[in-house]
Amino acid sequence: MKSLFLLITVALSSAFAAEFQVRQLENGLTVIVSPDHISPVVTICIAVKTGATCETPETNGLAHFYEHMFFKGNEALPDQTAYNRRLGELGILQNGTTYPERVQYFITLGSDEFENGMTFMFDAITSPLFDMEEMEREREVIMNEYQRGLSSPFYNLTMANQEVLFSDAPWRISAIGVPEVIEAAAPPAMHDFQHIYYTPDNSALIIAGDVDYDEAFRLAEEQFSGWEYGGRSNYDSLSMSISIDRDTTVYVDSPTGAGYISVVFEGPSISTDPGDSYPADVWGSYLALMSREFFTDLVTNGPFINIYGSYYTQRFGPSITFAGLIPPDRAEEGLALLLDEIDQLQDIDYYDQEGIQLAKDELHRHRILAEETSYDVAVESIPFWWVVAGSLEYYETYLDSLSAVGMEDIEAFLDEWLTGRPRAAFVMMPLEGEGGR
Amino acid sequence: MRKALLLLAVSLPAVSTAQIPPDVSEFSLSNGIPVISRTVANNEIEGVSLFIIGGSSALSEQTQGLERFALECAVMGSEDYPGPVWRDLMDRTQAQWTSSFNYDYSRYHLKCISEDLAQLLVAFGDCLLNPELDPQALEQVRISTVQDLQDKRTDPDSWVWLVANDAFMPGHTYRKLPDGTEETVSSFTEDDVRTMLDIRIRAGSLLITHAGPTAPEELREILEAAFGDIPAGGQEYPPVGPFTVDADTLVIQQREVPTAYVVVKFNAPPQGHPDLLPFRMALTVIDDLLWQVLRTDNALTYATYAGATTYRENWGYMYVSTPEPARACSLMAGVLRGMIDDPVDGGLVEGTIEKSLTRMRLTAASKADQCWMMGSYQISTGDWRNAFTEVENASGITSEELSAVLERWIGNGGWGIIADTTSVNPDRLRPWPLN
Repeated sequence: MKSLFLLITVALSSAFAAEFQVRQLENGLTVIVSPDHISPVVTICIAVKTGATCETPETNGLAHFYEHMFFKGNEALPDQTAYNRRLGELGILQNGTTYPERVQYFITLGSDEFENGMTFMFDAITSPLFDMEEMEREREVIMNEYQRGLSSPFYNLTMANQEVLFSDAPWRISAIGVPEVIEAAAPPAMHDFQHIYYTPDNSALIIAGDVDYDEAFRLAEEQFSGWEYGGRSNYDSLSMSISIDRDTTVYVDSPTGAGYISVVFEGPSISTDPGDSYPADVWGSYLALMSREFFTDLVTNGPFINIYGSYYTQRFGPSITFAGLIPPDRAEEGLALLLDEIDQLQDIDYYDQEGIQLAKDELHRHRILAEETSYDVAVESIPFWWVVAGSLEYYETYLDSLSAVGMEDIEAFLDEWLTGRPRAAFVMMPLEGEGGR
Repeated sequence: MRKALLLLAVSLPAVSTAQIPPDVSEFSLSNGIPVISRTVANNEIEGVSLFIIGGSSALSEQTQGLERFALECAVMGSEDYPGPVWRDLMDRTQAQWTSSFNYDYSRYHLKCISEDLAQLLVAFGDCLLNPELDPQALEQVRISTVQDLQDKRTDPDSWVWLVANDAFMPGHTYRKLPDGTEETVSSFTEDDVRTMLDIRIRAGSLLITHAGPTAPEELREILEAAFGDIPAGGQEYPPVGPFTVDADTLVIQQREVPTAYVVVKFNAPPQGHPDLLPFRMALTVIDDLLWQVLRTDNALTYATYAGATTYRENWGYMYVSTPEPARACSLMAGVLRGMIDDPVDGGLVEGTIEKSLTRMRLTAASKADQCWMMGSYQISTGDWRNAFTEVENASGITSEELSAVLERWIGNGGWGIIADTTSVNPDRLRPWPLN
């Protein structure tokens, strides 16, 4: 039989990290396989380049609603009873997650049922029913999820972040969406989402666990080649969502009485400034060192309970964040100290060569420890990198690129992304009697 | 209250050993600390768990939380690894420490690269035996712990479990909280910490589990160097009494929340009882039924689940968050009663067992989870092998047997609800009978 795989990339990652291979079907579906025979289970994940970042104010929450409907029946398992029965027959554990910049669906089952698991995922991703009655019920479920979010101790802070950091398009960071859209969602909107984003050329199939390369790629080809190419997704051409144009300080009431401070800058986008992301990660890793100035000034000898400074790799909403818990009565003092520390760390003399090497070693070790299990690889690691970086080339060469980062790269990163750049500061503390600030 | 039919435990099928990994070694250190080690060579990651038997049930009202506080203070640095040296070691190794504290024991888990294992364990052992207890570090632990407690009190999703305790276990020794209270944690002194560590860090109170590529012979040497100086001995812990709930009870806590949070707790078989396995399987089936009835059929919730604990004394529980607590609770209690009165479809039981098998196999892929499985089953059942055989041994259980085990154990329920009683009619909230 003629192979439908267009190109083959053999990507054996560094000695200790997870091994994987990548191929692409003719219909554009990226297939990534990572064998691990430690336990007779396999995790199958489908990552889709969509999420809140693709939404408008009129559709905010639909990507998440779609994720819920994935589990509500399809042409092969036409109702919830049949769907649930199949879960039990195959011993499937399932879940889905909607992030601002990606959506993913994943199942884990015994490797002896791998082929059936692939069929299950194909049916679910290609032929969801969007039954109106099911949607009516699921609407209430999602509203309860929304209500739970309102009770979160960090809800006020989350909303402030959304409004200030993403002021041009706050909906693009809110996966849960808004009640008006959730309440009005109907099958045509789901079909629109499916038509644009749920196509093989906008998705990746990740298989990790007790499988062999040949068998996994063969089944992927057999079962997923029938998924029709789309070519309609606008994901890769979306604009940036984060926008900080002036220094801002926002005080947020703390329902728990806890104190929390964060200071946020825009960071480099992995799609437009990928080269800056490597020194950004090394720099963040340096700040995580408990033996260096940042931690000792602010935690060991300062008022913070904990602290971090790091770069969050994203395409549309990349950020550089400094944040930590602090006793509420020391929040004002803490903000001043943190801003002063941020001024100091823009000078390259703040850093030492040994610490930079330690930071690079730290990132290597972090990769190893973060990819211990096939579930970690299939659900936590590869989908993230495939979506945000646009392919796995970035992920493949990541550790080598980190090794090449020198002090001059750190300095250039600081000059470009921190020095003279506007920042938004958030102070969460009890504001009772102050009427908000 | 336990039923008189206690002795009529279900007859379990013959014990299966198919799932027991063959590469597990057991040995003791020179001071008697038992070690269970699974040699797994799929990567260079090691997992080591130290279980410290005691827990909050061995503390008093005034000292609840002290075990956690003392251990957290100890791991801030030691005589040979004072704070800056300890933090530098953590920087260089990127070691990941996790800890958990419950009614019966505490656990520290280390995840690291193989080449760092020996050095990290020696430093950890020194922290336990010769802690630095720098006053500034103690205050940092205190502030962090109190903040953590305040967060849990404010978060209704966390706090509702303790509201249910007011209904289910008034006066019971498990009312003493592993994390302590803001009052107790604020009162602990350095002397309290030293006394606690002197009591708990004894060979007779410890168990070590390991999963990773280091071979048993080498591991023994590493552990001996790290923990071999821990003195012998250990505390005798008083038995834990059963829960006695004289009547279905409901405790409501008023809060301005947009959705209500509900937990109900009820009696379950204690550790070592042959009914515990089928009881837990029955609650796993109920977990599936709650999802079907409350979420899929009636759209009353985003989150609902059920389960049973594995302490010395146990309880079953059901949870739901919902804007309609009266209706949801009525259905939830109905699910439980229905399963007692009318055995569920056998296919549902088989499906639940299949999913449990997948869950167990998934757990067996993580070294941290393997350490937890082997250690917690060794402590709670006396044999770590049960962690691997339990699900398969449950495969022959029938739905009639699950109904029977629930009938034997389900008595009065202790309900806890956090709700905004200005929008939810409190007159419609009452303790719904479970049996």
